[in-house]
Amino acid sequence: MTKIKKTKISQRGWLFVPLLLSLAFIGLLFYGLNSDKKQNEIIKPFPSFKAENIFLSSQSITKSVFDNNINIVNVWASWCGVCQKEHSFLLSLMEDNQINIIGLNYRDKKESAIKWIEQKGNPYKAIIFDPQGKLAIELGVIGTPETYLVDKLGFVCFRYSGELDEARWNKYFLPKIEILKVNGSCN
Amino acid sequence: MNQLLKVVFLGLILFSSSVCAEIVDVWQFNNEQDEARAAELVKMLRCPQCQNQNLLESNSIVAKEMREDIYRLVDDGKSNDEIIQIMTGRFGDFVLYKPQFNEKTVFLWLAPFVLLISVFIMIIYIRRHKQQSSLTPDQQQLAQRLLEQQEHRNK
Repeated sequence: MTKIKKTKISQRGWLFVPLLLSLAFIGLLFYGLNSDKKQNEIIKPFPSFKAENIFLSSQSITKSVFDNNINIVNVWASWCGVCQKEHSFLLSLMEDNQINIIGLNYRDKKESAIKWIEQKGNPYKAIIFDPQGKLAIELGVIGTPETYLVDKLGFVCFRYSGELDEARWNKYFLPKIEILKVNGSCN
Repeated sequence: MNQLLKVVFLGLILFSSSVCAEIVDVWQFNNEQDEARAAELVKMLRCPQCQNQNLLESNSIVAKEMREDIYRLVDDGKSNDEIIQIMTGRFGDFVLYKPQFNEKTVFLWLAPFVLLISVFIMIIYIRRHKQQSSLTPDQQQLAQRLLEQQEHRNK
């Protein structure tokens, strides 16, 4: 008698499965909605380009600037407020001298860009001048600031949208840089 | 008055669905098919800078540039699939309003069906068990007798 009752109860328990499944699914959707969309790990070749180097107008800059280095490409503009906040961090990063910092000056006036760098200091080894945003759209830039990790073979390993600071650098970039130091390329 | 308001609101609601954005950029396409294809593409893709606008509706710089890029790619004779692939390669799956069916999205696509089927199974299960009485014949007789007594008392 008691045996029969027990199986009845455990069978009833199954009735809650759809409800629990629905709740789990809703929970998952909420998680997806609130997760950090600022980063993205699509590995792809950095688009080929030939552009003006802001401080060395006589020399054009090409993809070979990435050769034999671990690089970050920082998209910035003098009209971008958040880029100002980020600037001091980039300067401290340059002092560490661990990686190549390349600037991508996005939809900016050349004089304003030069003035900004002269006032605030230059963390960049080279600055790609992209007044029309041509390279930026090929790269997939959504807004400024944005920072891309590029390996020595010219592959984009990781992208971060938004202001960089030490915490985010340590969280997102450092582990990937350590791997790059061992593997050479992320592709 | 109330009646009038109802009619007006109904009219507004019906009208709102027929409002539809059209391409406003200045661009000379080679032919009408290309123009139609470009129009379809910019409606299908989401502006990466906005929360919920397609490329056609958005005024942001990125959306404008992407639109022009798409027109150029259409002019170059690239197929819709190729263009979508280029755009997702740059901006990620975020630009797709309709996510592709792959191992990352399989759960997203199938979960509603799985849930629906499990609900049906549950309904069938409940109906079947309702028909069968869970009482033994002795208990059933007892219940019948109790009910009859109740009826007598009510009379």
